[in-house]
Amino acid sequence: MLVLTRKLGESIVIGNHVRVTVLDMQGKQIRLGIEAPTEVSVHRGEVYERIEAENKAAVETVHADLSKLTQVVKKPEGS
Amino acid sequence: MADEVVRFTHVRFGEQETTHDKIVSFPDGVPGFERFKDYALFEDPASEPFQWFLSIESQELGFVVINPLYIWPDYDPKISKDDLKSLEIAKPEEILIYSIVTLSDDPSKVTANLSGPILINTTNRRARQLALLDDRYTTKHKILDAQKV
Repeated sequence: MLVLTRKLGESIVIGNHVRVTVLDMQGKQIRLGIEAPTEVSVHRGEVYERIEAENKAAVETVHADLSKLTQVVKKPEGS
Repeated sequence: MADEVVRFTHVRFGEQETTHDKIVSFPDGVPGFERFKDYALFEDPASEPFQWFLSIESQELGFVVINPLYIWPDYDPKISKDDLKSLEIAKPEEILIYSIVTLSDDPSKVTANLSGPILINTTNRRARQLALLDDRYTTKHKILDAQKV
C-alpha cells in the first residue's frame, strides 16, 4: 500500500482523472472531496464490502429450490 | 447483431442460448465479481416472477433477481445524476431496476438486496450495481415478510 501524508486542502491525483482532496478534519473524522469521471464508481468502503458479501452469498444459493417461494410470491396485477 | 445467437452454460440450467439483445453489460462487473462483465437476462418460467442474470463468461456465476417494486411498491432508491450519466440514461423510460435475491430452501429466509440495486439502461443495455447511502435499505430484506402485509 502506498502511504502519503497530506495537509488540509492538499490532494492526491490517481491516474489522469481522479483527484481526492482533504477538505476538513474534526477529531477522528476527515472529510474528503472526490473528483472523478461519472463512469468511475466511488463508494464508502464498508458499503461496497456489504454489497460484495451479499453478492457472494447470493451466488452460493443458485441451486436452491424456488418452487415454494414462487407459490407465494406473485407478480402484481397489471405489471 | 441484436438477434445474433449467444451460447453459454450455467451450472443450474446447463447449456443455453440467447440473443445479443438479451445481454446486459456491466462495465465494472458487480462487486465481488468484477472480472465478469456480460450477463444474459434469462427467463425461466418455473422461477417467475423471479428472473435470472446468468454470466455468459462463467458457468458458476448467476443471480436470481426480481423487480423490487413487485414486492415493495414504495421502494424509492435515490439514483444520482452521476449514476444516470454513467450509463447514459437520458429519460426515465430507459430505466430498469432489479434487486439481487439470496435464495434459501426455506422461503421465509429468502431476502432481496435493496441497498445494492442493479440499474440498467434498456437502450444501450449497460448496467451497474449501485451502493445506496440510504439507511432505509439493507442488503437483506425478507421477501415473505413483505408479502404478509
